[in-house]
Formats: sequence, structure tokens, C-alpha cells
Amino acid sequence: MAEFGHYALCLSWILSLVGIVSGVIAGRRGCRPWLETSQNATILVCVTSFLSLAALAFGFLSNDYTNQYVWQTSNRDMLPIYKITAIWGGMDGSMLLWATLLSVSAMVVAMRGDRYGRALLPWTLAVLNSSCLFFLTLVVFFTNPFRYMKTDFIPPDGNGLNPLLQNPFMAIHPPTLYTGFTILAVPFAFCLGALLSGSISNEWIRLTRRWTLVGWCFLTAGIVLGGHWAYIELGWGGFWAWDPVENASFLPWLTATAFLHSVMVQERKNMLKVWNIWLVTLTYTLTVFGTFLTRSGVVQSVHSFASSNIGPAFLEYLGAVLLITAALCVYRRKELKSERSIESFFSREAAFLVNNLILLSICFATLWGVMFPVLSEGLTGVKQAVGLPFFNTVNIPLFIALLFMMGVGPLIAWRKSSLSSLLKTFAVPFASAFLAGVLLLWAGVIGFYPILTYAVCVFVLMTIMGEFHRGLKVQRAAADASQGTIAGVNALFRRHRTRYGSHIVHFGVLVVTLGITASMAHKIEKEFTLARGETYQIGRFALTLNDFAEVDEPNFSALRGDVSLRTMKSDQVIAALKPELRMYKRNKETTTEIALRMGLREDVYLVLAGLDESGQRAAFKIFINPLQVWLWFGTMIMILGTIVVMLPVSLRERSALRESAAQNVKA
Amino acid sequence: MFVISTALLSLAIAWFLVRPHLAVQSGPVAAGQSPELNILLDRKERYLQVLKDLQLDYDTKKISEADYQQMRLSMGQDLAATLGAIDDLSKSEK
Repeated sequence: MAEFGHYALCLSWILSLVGIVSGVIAGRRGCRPWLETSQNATILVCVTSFLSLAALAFGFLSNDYTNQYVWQTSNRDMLPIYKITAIWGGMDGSMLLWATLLSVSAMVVAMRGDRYGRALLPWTLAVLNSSCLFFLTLVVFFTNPFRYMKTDFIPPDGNGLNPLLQNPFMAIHPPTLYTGFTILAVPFAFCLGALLSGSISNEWIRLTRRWTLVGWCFLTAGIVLGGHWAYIELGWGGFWAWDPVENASFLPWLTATAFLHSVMVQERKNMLKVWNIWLVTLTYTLTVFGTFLTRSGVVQSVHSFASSNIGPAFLEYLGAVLLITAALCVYRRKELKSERSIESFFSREAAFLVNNLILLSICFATLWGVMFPVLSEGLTGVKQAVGLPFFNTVNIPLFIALLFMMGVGPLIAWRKSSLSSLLKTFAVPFASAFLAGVLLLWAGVIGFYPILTYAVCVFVLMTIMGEFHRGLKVQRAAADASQGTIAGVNALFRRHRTRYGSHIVHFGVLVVTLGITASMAHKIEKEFTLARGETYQIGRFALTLNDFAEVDEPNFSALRGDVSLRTMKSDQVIAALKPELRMYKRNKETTTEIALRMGLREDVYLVLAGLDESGQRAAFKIFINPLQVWLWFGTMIMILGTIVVMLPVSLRERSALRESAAQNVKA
Repeated sequence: MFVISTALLSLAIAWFLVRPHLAVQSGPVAAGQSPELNILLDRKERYLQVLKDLQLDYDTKKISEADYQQMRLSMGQDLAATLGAIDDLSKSEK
């Protein structure tokens, strides 16, 4: 099967080359058969990549230890789900997964070719196939997952997957993240396709709007799933530590978010064309750069489970992408001139520009922090790393500013707003935020940044509520005064889906911010030991150790605690917590399996650290994380809002829009 | 078995790639609109969106009456000019 997988992989490599060549010929000659060949080749790249991935999965499930990669990252006692997870548990398989997911995006573009017009499609396919070719080259020539063992001896069992990766979230986090990365390659391909073809209208933006939103959605989900994995697997009570690998996924998210906002300015004002080209290019290059960071071993990370010598290839590819984009921007500079300029600072486009600058500042600061060890070593010979304090000091004020702009943007009209209307609309949100700040101080909440963040959250919440209130009033005036609130909101969403859908996303961001701020600023962390039958009190909880014992499972042995969690008020057991300290048999690695009681008010997070010298007392670490669960809920709201934005516009709504426009023309 | 299956797969792939060149009809790439028309249609969509936003901003009292009238007039003129240009180009393309 490994032979077949390697054969399919090589075919895929050849086909992506065919896709590029035929795409370029179709683009230059405008010839239909060559375009169809390019489309067919793109579809086949996906089919053959999938065959290759399926062959690898078969190798894992059938314990084929003649395959070096299968032997390295799995063993017989692993559950089938973790054998599948092991495909992306190492360098070779994760590169193959990336190439396959990229080929899926390319295939969808090829199959929907008729929608994309004659000028853009051939070049877009050529760019997408080039991207596939790069990753397939890495897989075929550098990180082939179908290598045979170097000796004739076939080991009876494999090395096993890193225990930290044997977690259900690892089964979905990398594919989700990679799906986001690879989908975001499509807007870049259309952008470069537009530059190559000379078709520099806003068509590429309109065609890729949904791609960008879907990619952003997957990226958001992937990042948060990674955070959740870190939260429940790493046992340190947190979910984000500004680790290089975390940052690598966060950097393209920042530029993609900036792009989603600035693209609206281009759609409405035909401005920021070059800015948007660079944002989409940066987003794509940062997704590749992230892989370079995590896979080259350039920076150290707790999430980095593989390293190799493919770093230079990544850097060369990134350099080539940036150089080609820059050259095309210079070549097409006349067509890329803006038709209009910003008329007033008090306009939504100006607010979006400020939002973009803040997002890029966070991106730059984070990138600087990630690359600082490499830069310092290159310049001084001494590797110096920046830690949590640097990222928090620089990024927290920027995030608060971004949050504030999230409230300001929707209150300002496109083109220009009148000062009197601004004062009127800002009065209530500002007053509410001020009042919230005073109340928090009065209630004894400490910390400048937490109070400021909560106050800004109240400000944004009031702006969102105000927007819905004003929208409903307009809707009722236009339709029927007796229209119910739900019917009115429904009508608002149908008529102005993007605007009100984005309010849902912003509300989700607020909820996420609330969860992050409360869990970070008001976290309680304690260490203690308990003998059987003893109780420990913390906050409004009491923990009683019922028992602890050694357990033996096929893949690991463990020390397992049995702890009852009670609330002091009711004195009733609300959860049985069973934290573990595991020792994996194959690779002799020790990991902690936390016990978690999630709640709307707080999470109780218990870690079993081991036994004391007497062997009679169990040592624990406990974290009380207030409002932590709202981080996960908030992300779901963000994704729901994005889905609302993406819902298709019905024909009836479209014709209503045309009618109102026709009236405007007549007037 | 492996050799036969890979050979068959390779042949099928080669046929799938060459097939477009063997088909009888070969013409320009997808009969779509001209780039000029695309740009105009794109502009029309943009103006429609801007008018829709303008109306909502006015209805929710984010802009003054005077600004609204002035922007609506200028945007309406731009839209009318674009629709006219689309008509002219569509006729000439036919």
C-alpha cells in the first residue's frame, strides 16, 4: 500500500505541474481546451493526493511498520482515532495533509470554473497549482511519509504517538487549522490571478468574499480548538501563552481580519486596492511562514512536535511569492490607482483604516516577539527570548483600542458623519461604559486593564444594542408598526445581512474578551496535598480526596485520584473529579490528565502532580478560572455570525434592491 | 497487480487530461462577458450597495438631511451613468 501511496503522490506532483503549464497557456492564448486540461489536472491533483493520504491512513490502521513514518508515530495499542491523528502527528504526514487540503480548495475552484469568468480562472488555477506543487515537492523530495525502514528487520510494534497528541482535540484541531490556511490560499490565488491577467476590477474580491469568510471561520475555530487542547492537555491552567506556534496561527488571523474589513472599503469606494492585495498576500505568506516556524525548528515551542531541514525551501518560496507580488503591483500600478479618497475622518472607511492599522500593529509586535530570539542570535550571537510580559505589555493596550474601534466603526456612516449625530449616538454607550467602570471600582474589582476592558466591552455592547434598536425602529416604520421584535430582527437580517451578521460576530468577540479577561485577571491558583478523607477549601468550593490508586491500561499506567467537589453553600457534591498522572509505556513519557468541572461562573481545574515522599498524600494543583467557558461560547457566536453573513441573498431581496436603486436613479 | 493497477490509473488520467483537446468544439475560453463589461457590472453592484448603505445610514440618523441628499444625488448620477454605459456596451457586443 505504501508503494501505491508513493505512486499517487508522484502522480499528484506531475499533475500539479500539468495544471500550471496548461493554466498559463490558457491564460495567454485564451484557449478553452487548455483551460479544461488545467481544470481536469487540478481535480486529479486532489484525487491522487487523497489516494495518497488514504494509503497512509491504511498503513496506520493496519500497523504497517515497514513504513518508517508509521513506526515512528504510532503503536498497536493506540485507539484507531489516534492512529488517524498520528497522520498529522509528525512532519511528513502533516505536510501531506496540507497539500491534500490545498488541493481540495483548488479542486472546488476548478469545478466551479464557469462562475469565475474567462480572464481570471486560468491564472488562478496556475497559482493554486503552483502552491500545491510547492507543498507536494516538499512531500515527495524532503518529507516523504512512504519511506521504508532502513533495515530488513520489521519491528513488532511502533514508537507511539507523543502522549500530548493523544487527545480528541488533536484529532480535529490541526485539520481545522490547516483547512483555514488552505482556504485562504484561494483569495490570494484570485488576487495574483487578477494581477497576472490584468483584470484588475473588484471582481476577484466579489468572487472570493465567501472563500475569505469560510477560511477565516476555520482559522478562528482552529486557533480556539488549539487553545482548548492546550487548556485541557498541558495542565498549566491556561489556554494561550504567546508560544511561537500559537502565534504562527494567530498572525494570519490578524491579517485576514484586517482584510475582511478593508475589503469593504474597496467594494464601496474602490480604494485601498494595493493595501488589500498586500493584506491577502501577507495572509497567505503568514500561513506558510507559520508552517516554516513550526516545522523548521527555528524557534522552540511546546507545540512543536516535529522539526526538519525544510526551512530554506520555505524561505525561498516565501521570498519568491513576495517578490512576484511586488513586481506585479509595480507593473499594474496605473490600474491599481484609487478612484476616490477618504472624505472625512469621521467616516466608516477611516474607522476601518484605523482598525487595520491596529490589527497590523498587533501582527508586527507578535511577529517581532516570535522572531526576536532568531534576530538576537543573528546580531549578537546570544539567543534572547521575549516572554509573556512583552506580549501582554504591547498587545493588551492594542487589543483594547481594537475593541473600542469595534464599537466606534458601526456608529459612523460611510463617507462622512455629522458631528451632531455622532455626539447623539455616542452619548449613551460612553455614559454606560463610564458607569460600568465606576461600579466595578466600587465593587472592588482591581486592575487598570481589566476595568478598562470591561468598560469598553459595555461601550461596544451598547453600540450593538443601539444599532439593533435603531434598525428595528426603521424597519417598523417602513413595514408595519405592529411588527414583533423577532419578525423585525428577521427582516433586518434579510435586508442588511452583512451589517447585522457582523454585529453578531462582534458580540461573539465581546463574549470571548469577557472570558479571556476574567479568566486571566481573576484566576486563583493554589497547590496543596491531601490524604484520603481530607478536605481542602478554595473560594466557594471544597474538595475531598476519597481515594487514589494505580491503574493499568493497554497504552499507559496511571495514578488516578478520586476527588469529590462540593460547594460550600449547599454542601452537596456537584462533581466527581478524577485527575491522572500517566506514564506511557512505549515512549516512557509522563503526562498529566486534568480533571475539569466547567461552569458558567467558573471552571474548577484540578491537576494531580504526584504523591509525596510518604506515598500517603497526593499533591494537587488547582486553578479556579472565572468565566472561562465564555471564551468557547463566544467563539461559537462568532462562527454563527459569520455563517449569517455568508447566507446567500435571495432573488426576492436582490430584486428589491434593484427596485430601490432604480427609484434612486429616477429621483 | 500493482503494476497493472497503476498502469490503468495512469492511462485513465492521461485520457482525462487529453480529452478536452480531442473534443470537436474548441473555441475561446468560456463565453463570458468582456473585461470592460465586467468592470461596469462590478461598478454597478458597488453603487447599489453604497446606495443601500446610504439609505440605512440616513434612516438610522447617522448623516444629516443635507449630506444625504447631496450624496444620494451624486451616487444616483454615477449609477445612471454606469447603467447607460452597460447598455451601450451590451448593444455593441451583440
